[in-house]
Amino acid sequence: MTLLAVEDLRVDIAGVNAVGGVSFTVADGQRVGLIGESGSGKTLTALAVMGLLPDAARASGRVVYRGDDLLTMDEDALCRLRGDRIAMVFQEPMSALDPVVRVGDQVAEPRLIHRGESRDVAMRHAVALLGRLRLSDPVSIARAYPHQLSGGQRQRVLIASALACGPDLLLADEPTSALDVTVQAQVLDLLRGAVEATHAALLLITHDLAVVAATCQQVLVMYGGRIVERGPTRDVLARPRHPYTRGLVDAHPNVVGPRLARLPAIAGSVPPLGGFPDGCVFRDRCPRAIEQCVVEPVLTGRPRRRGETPTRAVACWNPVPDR
Amino acid sequence: MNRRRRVPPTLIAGAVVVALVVVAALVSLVWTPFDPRLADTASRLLGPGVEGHLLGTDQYGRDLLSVVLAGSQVIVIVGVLAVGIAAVLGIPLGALAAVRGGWVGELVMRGSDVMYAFPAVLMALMLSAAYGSSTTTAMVAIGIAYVPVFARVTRAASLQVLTRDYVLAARAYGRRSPYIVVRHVLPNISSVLIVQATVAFALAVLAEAALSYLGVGTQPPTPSWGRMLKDSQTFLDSAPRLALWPGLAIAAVVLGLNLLGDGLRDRYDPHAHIEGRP
Repeated sequence: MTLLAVEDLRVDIAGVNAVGGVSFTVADGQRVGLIGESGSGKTLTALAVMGLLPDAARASGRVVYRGDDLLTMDEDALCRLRGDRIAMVFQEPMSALDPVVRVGDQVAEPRLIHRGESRDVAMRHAVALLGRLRLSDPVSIARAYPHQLSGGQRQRVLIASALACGPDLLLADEPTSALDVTVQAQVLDLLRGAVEATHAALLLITHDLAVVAATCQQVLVMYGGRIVERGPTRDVLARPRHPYTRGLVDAHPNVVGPRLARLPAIAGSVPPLGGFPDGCVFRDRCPRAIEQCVVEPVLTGRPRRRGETPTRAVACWNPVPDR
Repeated sequence: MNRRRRVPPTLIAGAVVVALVVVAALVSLVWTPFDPRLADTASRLLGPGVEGHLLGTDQYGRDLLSVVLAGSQVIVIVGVLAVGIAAVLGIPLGALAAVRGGWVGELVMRGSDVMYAFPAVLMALMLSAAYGSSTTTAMVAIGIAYVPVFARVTRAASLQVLTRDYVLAARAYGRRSPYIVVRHVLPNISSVLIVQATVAFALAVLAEAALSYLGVGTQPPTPSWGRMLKDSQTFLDSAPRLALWPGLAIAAVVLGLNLLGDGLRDRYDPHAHIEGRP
């Protein structure tokens, strides 16, 4: 069943368009990856779902959670959902924990708010949760201040506080990007395990293909505030159709297979907000651009074989041919 | 942050001076060499050391040391209460302006600009015209005059903290703004506010002395250093020590508080630039 349906979401910041009409759905218990370079509008999309956009930002379209549009919901109702049904793990474990509040209190906070539990009860739950995230000695971790913990420990603490109320939907914004590689894998495993155990849906935002491949069933590729390709993760990463996705996959070093002397890179760089071309946003960096690209392509389903229901969609006039 | 950073010497020096004043005030409550309110015309203007008067006596025959000691009570009370009034009104206003922004924030900040334009002395003159001159009047006037200082500092520091990820995280937990301010913003700006309170305390001491000197502050027979300065004017030629001791006391307290404020700032808040009232 569809848990979250984002329909034609647009976000403008101070008059400049940052997210330009994004649509996708997340089903109950589904793990969806949202991938793209920095500046592609991934974080803004997540913040729009949370109703936590900065003051200067305006969102339009619909963000439907279990039949209710979150964009038109009043703040009281949103506050009841946030942290309880919909939770978010932030990118920076260093700055997303209040330096002057004990870790345990921060993990217990959502339960104090939404369950009306006493501090003692919420604290016991927090300690249990920290233990389940395989933090050794959760009791003393709960008593510690954030600066006493390592980056990996802090990120687990953030995941614990997001999971405190057992949300239906977890948004994770680059949850492992600030961690070193060995810790990344552990934290990712824990995140995935925790989401599976609680049957929560996950929207994982990342720029790392490997993270998506290891975690998500579905992937959304975002560029310039638009979703340019969508489909089952394995399929999309194995046979990218959009030239941008293709570029991302090619730029990713292969652990197996021949070692390339030099990794291919996508030409140019992401333009600043408001600097994207008309028509297809990728057209001035695209090796396959054709005349038709001055008209913005629509994300359309493309069946792998004639007559099959499409599981994938790509927004491109001249997609990479399917091998 | 390096938690083992050396304690700045200014912090120690300031703390010692301020502690001395507080001790003097407490001791003078129960004991002074002579009764500071006892006027004795027989022993007017005695020199230092005469008849056991260590610093001599003043024009009313009171023991100078006792009067100076007792004068510290007023300083402590005025400082604490004036800063208290300023903080209790100014901090919530500043936090409100930071959180709400828009016309609410604008109204608070422009209102505080208007308040800022009123010198504390003018405020005290107005209040004493309306309610009579007293220590309380001076205290309230000084307190109100420093409300905008606290409002501004709180707003500036809060705006900084409000952009932090942990505030966003707290909102993502479902917290509302008022709670976030109390739980996350104020504790994180407390060092700035403590430094500000120390500096405001020094200025309040100075303002009280000035107001008492002008006759709108503490009234006799309650001993007050500002009042003593004024009364000693006539005797500046014959007995300069009458002005020297209260003057030194005022200077020492203000210096001590400023050192303490600077020291605290260096120790806990090295990057903050605080708007203080000149």
